[in-house]
Amino acid sequence: MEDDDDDDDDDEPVDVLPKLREECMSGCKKEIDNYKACEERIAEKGHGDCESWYFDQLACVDKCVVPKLFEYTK
Amino acid sequence: MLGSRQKSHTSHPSPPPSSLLPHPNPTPPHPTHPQALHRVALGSASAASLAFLSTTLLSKSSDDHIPSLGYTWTHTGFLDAFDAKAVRRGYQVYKEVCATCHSLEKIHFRELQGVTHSSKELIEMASEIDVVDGPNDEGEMFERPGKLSDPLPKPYANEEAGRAANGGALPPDLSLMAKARHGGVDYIFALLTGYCEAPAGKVMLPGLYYNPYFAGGAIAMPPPLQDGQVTYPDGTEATTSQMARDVSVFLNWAAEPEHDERKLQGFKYLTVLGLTLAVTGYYKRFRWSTLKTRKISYVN
Repeated sequence: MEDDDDDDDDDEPVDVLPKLREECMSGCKKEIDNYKACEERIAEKGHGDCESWYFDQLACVDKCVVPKLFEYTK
Repeated sequence: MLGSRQKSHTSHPSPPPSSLLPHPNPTPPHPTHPQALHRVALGSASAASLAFLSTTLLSKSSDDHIPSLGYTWTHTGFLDAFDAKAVRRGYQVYKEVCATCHSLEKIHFRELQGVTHSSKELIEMASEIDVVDGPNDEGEMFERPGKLSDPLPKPYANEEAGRAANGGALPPDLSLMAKARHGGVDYIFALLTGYCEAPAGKVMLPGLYYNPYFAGGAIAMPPPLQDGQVTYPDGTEATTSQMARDVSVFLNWAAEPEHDERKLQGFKYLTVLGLTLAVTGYYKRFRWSTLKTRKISYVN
């Protein structure tokens, strides 16, 4: 791959999606806290999984990201 | 955590307040009278069971995947057509990334005419592939360069070859995928961009990747898109989201090539039939008005 610093616009394009998701996480504190609580619960218990709480978290982030994402694509 | 496959060590927030966790013994002072002790035991049992029902502990999701939400596509409106540039870019993404494993059997080169490429370009593209044809007059199968009438080339000769090359999981044909899944285009886009770390406690079999939009969460396809994977000739930045958007639109076109024509004809027919309804309705009511306003009077 090119490593030239001289190339003006040969940089790898950077997707905006991970950054958008990070930003949207700030509006989902309740879901994140619930998920972390679940993580600690199952760590104590030794069994079980936290998929439902993970889904709550993802759904909350999605609700924030989805209406905005296509503004950053053609 | 989302979007990256490396463990990101973010500092954990302070542990949840102890009121969230079921507490075996409540804090009221210990009575010594046996009857009161009995009441305290009952009280603590009900407090523990009530804490279990606290809404902060329950999760809202109860399915094996999350639904894909509606993205702001430009072709979903009643009178909206596909973005032709996106379909063309999407074909490029399909050909360079997806066609390695996924067939698109129902689409022939001739169907791309006027949609993604011109006839001249397509004749050239088709002639670059070799197609098995025959039997000839000697009864033998032979290879010839492709023509417009040929379907897009398949990556594997048959299902068994597809499974053998992909650990038993056949990459499905994508011709109708946009119609074959709940969520359609939204689902395809969400799936392609939705890969993330598996949640705590989920057991993932080796060779499978976690994707919350996929039923069951464990998909055999590795994340197919990376930034800069493809170079668009029109200069568009080939980010993961861009490529996913373009290929989703392309696959939607592939599943519904009649889409633009359907909406146009639909609008024309509904307008004309609507006007006809109005005129005919008025004429019927007009003609029937004599009968509908009849009066019967009894004269005695």
